[in-house]
Amino acid sequence: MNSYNISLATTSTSLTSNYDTIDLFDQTEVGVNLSNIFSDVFPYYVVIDWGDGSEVFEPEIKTFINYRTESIIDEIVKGVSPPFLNTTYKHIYDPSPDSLVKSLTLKVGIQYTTGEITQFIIPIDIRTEGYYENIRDIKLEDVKIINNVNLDTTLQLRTEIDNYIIETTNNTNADSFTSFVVNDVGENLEKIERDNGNVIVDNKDGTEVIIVE
Amino acid sequence: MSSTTVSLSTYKSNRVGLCMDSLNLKQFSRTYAGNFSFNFITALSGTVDFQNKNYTDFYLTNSNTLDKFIEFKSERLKPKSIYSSLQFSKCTGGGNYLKFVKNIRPSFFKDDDNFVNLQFYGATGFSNNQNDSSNLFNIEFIDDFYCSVSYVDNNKRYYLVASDDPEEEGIIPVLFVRDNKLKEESRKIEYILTRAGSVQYLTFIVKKGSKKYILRKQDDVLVGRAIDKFENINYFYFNGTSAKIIFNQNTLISNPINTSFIEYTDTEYLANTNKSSFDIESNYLFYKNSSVGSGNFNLINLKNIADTADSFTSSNNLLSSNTDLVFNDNIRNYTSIFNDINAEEDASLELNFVTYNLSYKITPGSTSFTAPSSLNPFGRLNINDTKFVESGAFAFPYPYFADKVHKKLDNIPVTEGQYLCTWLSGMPGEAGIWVDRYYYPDLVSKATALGSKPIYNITYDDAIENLIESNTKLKTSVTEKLFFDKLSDLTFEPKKEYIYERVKNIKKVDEELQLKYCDLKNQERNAPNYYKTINTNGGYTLAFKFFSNDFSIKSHVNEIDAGFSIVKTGTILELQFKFFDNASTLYKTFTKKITLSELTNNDLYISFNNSTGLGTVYLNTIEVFTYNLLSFQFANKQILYGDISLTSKDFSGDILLSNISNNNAISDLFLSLQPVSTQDLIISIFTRSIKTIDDIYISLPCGMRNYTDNIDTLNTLGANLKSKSNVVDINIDNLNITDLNILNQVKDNLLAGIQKSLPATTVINKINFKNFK
Repeated sequence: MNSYNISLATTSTSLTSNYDTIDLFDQTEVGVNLSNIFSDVFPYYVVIDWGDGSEVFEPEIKTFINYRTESIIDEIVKGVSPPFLNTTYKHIYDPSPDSLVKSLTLKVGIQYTTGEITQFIIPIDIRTEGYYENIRDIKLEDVKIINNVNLDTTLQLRTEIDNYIIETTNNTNADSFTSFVVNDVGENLEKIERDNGNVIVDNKDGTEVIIVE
Repeated sequence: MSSTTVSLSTYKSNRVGLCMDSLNLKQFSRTYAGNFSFNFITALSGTVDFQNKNYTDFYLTNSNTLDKFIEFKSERLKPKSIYSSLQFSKCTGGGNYLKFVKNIRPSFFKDDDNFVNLQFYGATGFSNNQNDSSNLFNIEFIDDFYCSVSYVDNNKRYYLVASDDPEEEGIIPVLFVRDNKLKEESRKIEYILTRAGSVQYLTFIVKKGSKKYILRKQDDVLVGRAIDKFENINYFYFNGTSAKIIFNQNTLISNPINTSFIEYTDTEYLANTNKSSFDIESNYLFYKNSSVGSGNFNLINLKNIADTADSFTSSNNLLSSNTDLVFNDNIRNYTSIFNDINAEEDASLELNFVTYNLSYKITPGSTSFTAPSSLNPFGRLNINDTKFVESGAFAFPYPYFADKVHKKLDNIPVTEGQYLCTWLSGMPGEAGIWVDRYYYPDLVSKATALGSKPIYNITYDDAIENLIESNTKLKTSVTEKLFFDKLSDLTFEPKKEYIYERVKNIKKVDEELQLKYCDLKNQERNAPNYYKTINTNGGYTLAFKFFSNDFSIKSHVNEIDAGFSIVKTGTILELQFKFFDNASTLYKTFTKKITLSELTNNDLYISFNNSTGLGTVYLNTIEVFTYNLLSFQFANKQILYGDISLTSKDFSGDILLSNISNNNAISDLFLSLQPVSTQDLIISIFTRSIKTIDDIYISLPCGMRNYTDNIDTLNTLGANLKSKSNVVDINIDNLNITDLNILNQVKDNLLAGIQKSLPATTVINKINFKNFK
C-alpha cells in the first residue's frame, strides 16, 4: 500500500484554501497533519470529510494529555498545541472498482470559539495501477471444478504483490431458477429444522430468496 | 480431442460477505485494462497459509488488529438506555463534562426550604475530564420523544429534573432528585438526538406549564433557559446547547472489534487503563465453505495472547520490545495450517504456532520443574530478570510465607554462610525483590532462618544448635549474625532442576499464626485471667467474623470502667477503647461508629500495641480507624481490667468459650495475648480473607519452539456437508413453470419415483428448476 501525507498550516482563524489536485496511485493511506494549524484562538470543532462516502470524521476535542498512556514525542517534535491537532489522522483511499481514475474532494473544516471557520478543499485523483504493478505474477493455490454443463470452476490465486489471495469463478450465478430444498445439508439446515418445514429457495438475479412454506 | 485456453478475464471475482450480522469485510475492487476486475479482501492480504480441508477453505491471516480487516455496517441503532458521559462541548468556560455533585450547597435552597431533606438532592457541576464515575449518567430512552437522565450514587438513583421554582430572567434551576421523591412522569425530559458523522448529540428540553426550557451550561452549572427569550431558534441554536455522548474511556474498550485484555479497578468496576492492554494483534482463521462461487466468510480469533499452557498471564514479555509490563501480545505466532493428507473423514484441523517462552504451572505447595534445554537468546537468566513477579509471585517480609525458589545442586559450594533458599522479599501486594537467604547451620536451625520464630516442627537436630538455643547469652551474641540476605544470584540454566515453593494451606497458616500467639483451645483452662498476660505483654489483637446477629463484646468487668467494647445493633457497629492511666488518674476514650452494609459477612480486626502506642481497627481488610497513645505509656500499667466477654441472643460468657460452644453471633475467633508484629498482622488479615491460593504460570525463554493448536470438529465450522459424495442436487432445465403449486406437485412426483432409482445412501439436497435464459 502506498502512503501520502498532507500537512496543513494556517496563521489566522478565517481562511478558505483551495489546493491543487493531488494524484494518488492505487490504494493509498493518506495522513492529514494538523499540527501547524493556528491555535492561539481555541479551535473547538474539527471535521474531516474524506470525500469517498465514508463517515465524516470528527476527532474528539481533547484539552489534556495523559502522559502515562500517551506519548510526549509529538509535542517535542511538533511543539505544544491542542492534543487533537497534534495527531495525524489517517484514512485509506481505495481505487475505483470500475474505472481507472477516481476523483474526489477531501475537505477539512476547523471552527474557532470566535465563530470563524477555516476550510481546506483538496481535490484528489486516485489512479488504478496496472496489472503488473499490483499483481505482477499469480500462483494457483487451489482449484475446484464441478462436472456440469458450465464446468463451474473456482480458482484461488495468490498475487505476488502483497500476497493477496483472490477467489475467482466462472459461475456467474445469473440463471433464474426455483429450487426446492429436500434435505438441506448445508447452511439452510438449521432453518429447516427450526421451521420444521419445506423451504423453497427462489433464486432470481443472483439473489437467493428463501420462502418457507 | 479439443482443448480450450480460458482467459483470466473470463473469471469473475465477487464481493464476499461475513456470516456475522452487522459486520462487513473490508474489501475493494480494481479494474484492469481489458475490462476485468478483481476483488481484493484486506484480510487476505499477506495470507500466511491457505488450505482446503473437508470442503472448507481455510485462510490463516497475518497478525493484525481485527478492525483492519472488518468494519461495522450498521451503527444507527438506538438502544433502550446508554451509560455515557455528557460533554457540553460547544459551551465555553472551564470544564464541560456534566458531573453529579452530592454535597449540595444549602445556599442553593431558599430560606423556607426544608434542609432535612438535603440527602435527597444533588447539584449539577462540570469537570475537565472524565476520570471517575461521577460523570457517567444513565440515559433511558422512554420513547422517541422522552428520555430520563439519572445518576446512581451508592445504590441510590437520582434523576435530572428542572426545579418547579418560578423562572428568574428566563432561567430555572436544574438539579438531581432521588427517585423516591419523584413521580414517574416528573422524570421525563424531551430530547433531540442528532448525529454528525460518527458522533451523536443530545439536546434536552423540559416543559414547565406552557413554557419550554432548553438545558444548557451556564457558568459552572446546568440551567434551564426559556426558549421564547430568543428570536433565532434554529438548528444551530439547538446544536450549540447539545451534549455530546461520550462513552467513558474507563468503561468502554477502545475498539469493540479488537481483542483487549482488561483489568478492572477494585472499587468502581471501571477498566484500569494502566493495567489493561487494548487493541491486541492476533492471527485469524478465516473460513468458508468451498462450494463454487458462493459462501460467506466466518472467522476464529486465534489465541495469540495465551501461553503454551493455554492460560493468560503477564509473564511472557521478556523478549518483547513492548514496554507494557502488564500484558503482552505476540506470545504466539501462527505460521501454518497442517494438512498433509486430504481425507473426507478427517474432522480436525491443526495450526502450527511458534513461541519463544515455555510456561510452567505452579500450584500451591512444592512444584519441581526443569528449565528448557535452551534459554536462547540467553545462556542463563538471573531470577530478578524473569517476570515471575508480574506473573503473580507473592512477596513477604520473611521467607516463610513468600514464594521461594530452590535450585537442585549436585555439589553445594562451601561458603561461610550456608545458602538456604531464594525468596521474594517485599510487602504483600508489592513487586518485591528476589534475594538469597544464607544462614549459619551451626548456629541456627533452618526453621528459624526462614522466619523470626520457628513455626513448623524443627527437623534439624544438632547438639551445637541445642547448646546455642538453650544458652541465652550465647544466643543473644550471635542473633544478629544468624542469617543474612543478599540480592539473588540464582540463575536459570538449561536443563537444570528447580523447585518453586508457594504457601499451600492458607487455613493452616491461620492456625499456625493463632498457635504462635495464643493457644485458644487450652487458654481458658490454663490461664483463666488471660487479661493479665495481655497487660504484661503490652498489647492484644482480637479478630472475628460476624454476620447479621447482634452482639456485645466487652472487657469491662471491674469497677474501673476501662477496656474496650464492641456493640453491634442492627447495621450500627459501635467501638469504644477506654484507657485508665493510674499515674495521672485520667481516662482516655476513643470511639468509632461504623454503619455496616446489610447482609454482608464482616471480618473485624482490632489490635493495640503499647510499644508504639498505636491502636488499629480493620473491617474487611480495610483500615477503618486508628488511635494513638504515647509509646510505652501503659508499660507496667493495666490495659485491660478483665477477660473479654461476649453477650448475644444465644450465648453469654467468656469469648474463648464461644469458640468451642454454639453461638450464632461471631465465628473464626483470633486472639493474641501480645502485640502482633507488623508482618504477622498483614499476613493474618490477608489469610483471614483469602480462602485459597491460586495457581500461577511462570515462563522462561526457550528459543524458538513449534507447537500446535487443534480445532477438533471442522464440520460444525464449515457446515458444508453438501459436498459429501452421497449428496446430490437434481437440476431440471427449461421446464419454465413459474407457478409454485404446480412446481411443488412436479417435485413430489419426481421424488416419489426417483428415490427407487438412486443408491440407498444417496441424499437429495435440492431440486432446482432452471428457467430459460
